[in-house]
Amino acid sequence: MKLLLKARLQNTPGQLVSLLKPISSSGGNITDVKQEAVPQGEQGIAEVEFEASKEVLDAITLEISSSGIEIMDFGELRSNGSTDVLLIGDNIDTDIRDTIDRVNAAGGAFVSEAEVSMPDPAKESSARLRISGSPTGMRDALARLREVAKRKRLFLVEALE
Amino acid sequence: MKVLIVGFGTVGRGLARLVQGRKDIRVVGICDKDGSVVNPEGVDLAKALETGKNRAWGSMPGFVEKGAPELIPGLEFDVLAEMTPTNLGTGEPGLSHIRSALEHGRHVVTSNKGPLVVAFDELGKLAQRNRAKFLYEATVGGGLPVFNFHRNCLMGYEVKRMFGIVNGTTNFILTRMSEDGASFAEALRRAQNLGYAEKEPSYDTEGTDAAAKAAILSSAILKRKAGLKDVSCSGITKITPEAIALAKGRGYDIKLVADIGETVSVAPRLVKRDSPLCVHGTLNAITFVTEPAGDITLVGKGAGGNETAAAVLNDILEAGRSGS
Repeated sequence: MKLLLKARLQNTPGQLVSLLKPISSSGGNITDVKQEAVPQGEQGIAEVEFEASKEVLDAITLEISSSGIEIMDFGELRSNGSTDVLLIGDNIDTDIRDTIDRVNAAGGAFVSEAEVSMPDPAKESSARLRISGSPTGMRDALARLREVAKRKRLFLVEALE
Repeated sequence: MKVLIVGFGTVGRGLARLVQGRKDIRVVGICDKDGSVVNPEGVDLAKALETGKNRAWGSMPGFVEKGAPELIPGLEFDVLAEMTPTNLGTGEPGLSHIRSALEHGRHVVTSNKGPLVVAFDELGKLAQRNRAKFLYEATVGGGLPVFNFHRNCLMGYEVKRMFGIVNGTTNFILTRMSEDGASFAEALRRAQNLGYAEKEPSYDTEGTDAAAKAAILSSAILKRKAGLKDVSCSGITKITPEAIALAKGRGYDIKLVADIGETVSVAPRLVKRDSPLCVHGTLNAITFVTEPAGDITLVGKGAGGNETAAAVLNDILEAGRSGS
């Protein structure tokens, strides 16, 4: 089964290893690791996506917790999905290709559909993008898209999930 | 039950119409911005409704030159029905009226969002200290029983998040854009012609009204204190007919959604057309995301003087039922 584990880690040498080792030593297959960038010595959040059998989960969480790491969330990773967004503004002048590339660069999710409606070259255009990928990938891609939209002064409409 | 009405606009007049002829409610005073009438035996509401049209209060029996701040401490009444216009910056004059009534141990019911957005905690504590009821059903969702539903029907549930359409004006505009292909400007004009939007519509179209309601829902139901500044807010003025057409092509409508959870926001969102939240015209809809029962959605008429007045009346009856 695919799993996602979210934990609070101190940015000190060895902490990330203490989080990952119990997973790999139990036969878990780690597929993605993300760690929040925080100054050395401070606490940040780390997320690990991995595959493992049900039988070893209790042993993994017990070993991680006993090393002093706080597990914030742990559960089955939903299968890949997709979400739609709209962008209203100067999509063409601000280079929609670049917008899509930047979303894709987040990794874990990508723009799988795009359509643009431009009723008049002098007016604002409207674009719909479909972003597909893993739940964490889509979350990261959306966060990146929010930044890009803000910088390019595009009005972003997200789906209600 | 003796009621003092403060504010005699659309909602105040709607309440007077609803309580006319009721034996269990006696309106002992009406305070409007141009004067007040007082009668411990009961104000003649038919006459008040006629007089209130021209604000010629001087011609009414029981006319006094005092305003609400002078009358509230001395007048004998059980419930203050505070329905003065909303001021989201200061909460006034409603905030002072409510404070004064609660300090004197009177129950307060209100349709005025301002005092709740500015001083929710303070007023709740003041009510508790003075063993008075402070009820505000009419502030969110007009005729939708949002707070009563939560108080009485979700006692064993944990509400994790709420989202919904809480502004009928913007929902009407977006519905016309979606169904007729109208531009924002055309749909707004239609809303103004039908009396659903003000001449100066930005309070609705920029999302301010919805943001105030979102802040109240956060403080009152999720118990996460929020004022207007805590709500990230964008309105519907940038929505184009082309954007709506693109959304419809994928089974969505665009709706102005208040989303109240760990953060509070008001923004246009893509809502699946088969979602119970996807209501049209001036309707409102609010979803409670609960544990363990999942999503529960209320749908109904959100705006309108009569619907809002009915919510105020319900609170008056609830205040009476609670005793003291």
